[in-house]
Amino acid sequence: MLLEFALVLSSAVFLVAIAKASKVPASRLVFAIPLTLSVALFLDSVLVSVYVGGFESIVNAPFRPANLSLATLIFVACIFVSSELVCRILVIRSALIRASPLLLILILIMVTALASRLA
Amino acid sequence: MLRSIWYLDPRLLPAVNTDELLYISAGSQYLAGLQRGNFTAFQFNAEHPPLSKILTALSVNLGGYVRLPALISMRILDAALGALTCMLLFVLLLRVSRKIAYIGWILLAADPISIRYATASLDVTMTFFLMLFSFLLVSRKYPLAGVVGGLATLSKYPAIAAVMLSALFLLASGDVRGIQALRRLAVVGFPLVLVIFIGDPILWPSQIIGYSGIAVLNSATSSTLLGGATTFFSFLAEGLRSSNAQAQMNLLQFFGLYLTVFYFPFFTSSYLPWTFSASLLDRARRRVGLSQVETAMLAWFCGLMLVLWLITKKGDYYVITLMPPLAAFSATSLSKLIGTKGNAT
Repeated sequence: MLLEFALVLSSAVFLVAIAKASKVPASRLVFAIPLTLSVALFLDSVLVSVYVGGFESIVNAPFRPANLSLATLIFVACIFVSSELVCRILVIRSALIRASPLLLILILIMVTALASRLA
Repeated sequence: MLRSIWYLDPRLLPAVNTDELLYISAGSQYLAGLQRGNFTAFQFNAEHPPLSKILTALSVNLGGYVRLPALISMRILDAALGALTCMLLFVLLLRVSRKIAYIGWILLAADPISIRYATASLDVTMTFFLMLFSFLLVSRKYPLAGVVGGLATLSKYPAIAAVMLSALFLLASGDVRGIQALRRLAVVGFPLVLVIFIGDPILWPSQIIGYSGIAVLNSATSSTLLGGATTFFSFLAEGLRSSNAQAQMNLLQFFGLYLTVFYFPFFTSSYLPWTFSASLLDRARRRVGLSQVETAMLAWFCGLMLVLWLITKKGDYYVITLMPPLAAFSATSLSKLIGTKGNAT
């Protein structure tokens, strides 16, 4: 448990460090993370509904690792595209903020670890 | 009429949904319970907060005076709240420009999915209060915004995410910093929390209501969500704990799919997601900053999108709560397009 909390805390410190180093206001940087994820999910819903056939059809289908791999690939691609979009929308010019997709994935892994322990 | 045109459906009124009957019944029980001081009524349909259902019951009672059927009274209230949401968006966008306000109003008023699911009572009420909250927040009426944010949460719980993110981002990106921003946040947050706790008897101490409200809430929520899991992270926890290899694989697959596949089929049900996507691309190309109205709308969109992603219950009609932010953004970009064409000709 302590390890997960330490990881979450270190991600927050990492976030502040990026904000300081890139001279981007912290408020804008904090806004970038949920916005990136939301836009990614939004784009994800287009691609999945068009190319895979929607959430229900995947969940109800028999287990096929290819489905999951394709879904993961689409999701990660959406995160990268939306990160670029969000950087431009929020007028963030620093190259450091481009690390936000990686940071997002890092946070997702940490939240996953935390949730699995807490549940 | 619009419903008939959009869906080529000859029926002016949609078919009855079981939820509608449930909310009428729940609202009537809550009202009767409040009159008698008996809070056990709030155990019924406890997975949703009571405000929208109480408003429905009041509307049904009022309609009863002119002998309107309960279902019609309920739908009149929902239609009125939906129409008021469009008007509030118009008033909010007037702060940017009159042209954008008209475009936004038309886009939202004619949105097919909002018309189709105008009978989703809780979502319609939540959307109305969220719209009012955004308007008050941008107008800097902070205590009142907190109260209305509380009312939105009392209509449906996911509203709290949109309310909190809107308040945080708008105050953090505003003209004040540090302690002053925190003070402002407290001015919004205090009435918000107060209204939620006063307005939802299920959150009151067991000494007052005679039972453990939190236990009832947990039990009601678990029974309506997939596998009793509130968020998809539970599938991971269960999967890791399971000793059965097949069950483990299924649970981990569910976790992976919930994590990576977003479910909304709304791209085939409305034009707003398309215009919003075009608007985002347009903004990325022009590299313009966000106004306060746009920040509030985007925070609303982010908050609800993330909550709807995390929870395991997925309903097509949930999407109507995302439509006002999409309409606001689309209106800004469309107004530029119309302006450019006008200049060219």
